[in-house]
Amino acid sequence: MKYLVWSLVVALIILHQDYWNWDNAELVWGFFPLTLLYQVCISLGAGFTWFLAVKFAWPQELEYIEQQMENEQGEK
Amino acid sequence: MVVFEPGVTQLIIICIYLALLLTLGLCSNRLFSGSSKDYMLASHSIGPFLLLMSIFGTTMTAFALVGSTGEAYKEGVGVYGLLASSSGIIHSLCFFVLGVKLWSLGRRHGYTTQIEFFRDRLESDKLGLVLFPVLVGLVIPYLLIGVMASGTVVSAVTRGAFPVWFEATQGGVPGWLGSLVICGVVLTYVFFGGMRGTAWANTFQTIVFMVLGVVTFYVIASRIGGQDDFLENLRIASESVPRDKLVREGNHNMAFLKFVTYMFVPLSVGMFPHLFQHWLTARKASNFKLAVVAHPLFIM
Repeated sequence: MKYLVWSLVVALIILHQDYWNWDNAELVWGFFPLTLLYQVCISLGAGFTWFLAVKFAWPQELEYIEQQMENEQGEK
Repeated sequence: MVVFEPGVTQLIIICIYLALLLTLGLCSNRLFSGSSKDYMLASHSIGPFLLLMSIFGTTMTAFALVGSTGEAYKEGVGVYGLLASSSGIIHSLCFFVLGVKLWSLGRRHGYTTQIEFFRDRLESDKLGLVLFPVLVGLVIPYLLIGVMASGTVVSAVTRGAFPVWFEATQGGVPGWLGSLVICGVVLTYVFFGGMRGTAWANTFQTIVFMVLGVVTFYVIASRIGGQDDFLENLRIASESVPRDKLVREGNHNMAFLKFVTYMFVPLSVGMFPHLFQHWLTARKASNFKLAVVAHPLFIM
């Protein structure tokens, strides 16, 4: 899952360079520039990708550090 | 009914806003424990919501709020991809890869500043001496952009308030005076509130500009085309946009190579001294999770 998350981050970075929309002036629903809508989807995709990252690629050793700090505070 | 000169209502709103910021700074001072750790890092007490808002507020500078808006008006819709969506990916990447790691090192070794971190990790006091003027030198123009932008905005929105006093600015509060007052307010709440006051002020400001951003969009968009229907107004407005503002082709300021390299700009958050300090204020590493996920959505 970790590899999938980091692959998604790389895919986002590549998809963000939307050269294929460079000359596209289409208005989706008559008012939303397609090139802008595409980048909005990139932002939504980034939110989803980072959600997967914190869920499946979160550094586990931090839980241990946090636990250690809580124990030290408890001892004080 | 009291009728004000044009610009006076805006000036009153700005004064109330600045007074609220001062109040927040002074109130946060009541929680101050008197230690340097509390002043510099709020005693590592910041939870997920405050961390998200303070980090987001810190990265959304005048460059992002005023500069990118003006740039979008000038260059067209491509500016969103150039500056905003790229930041959504890269900022969160920095928070996830650097922020969390630096937080754990900071907690373990008791760092309070970025210089302290570099001095200790690279075991060189001399490096700290070199890095200090470099970082300060780089932060000064960055801060000045904010100070100048705030003065410009105050001057523009208060135009007409004092036609006799400030003829040169068409009655608006001069930029230098607006900047000076804002610097005074920021200095006061940072001085009295420390990092806790800064985090509270950032949170308040972030909520204000996000809510008002949506309200402003709705108010303008619902009247821009002179129609009753909201979507019809949007259609009329979008159809009136010149083609060169809808595409990036032919715009030398939107050249593909430039667009690609702009992806490196948001990497700068990894070296912001003030952001480094905000990272260290987190109570727990897991408090970063909300900031990492919500940041791209908030930028949107």
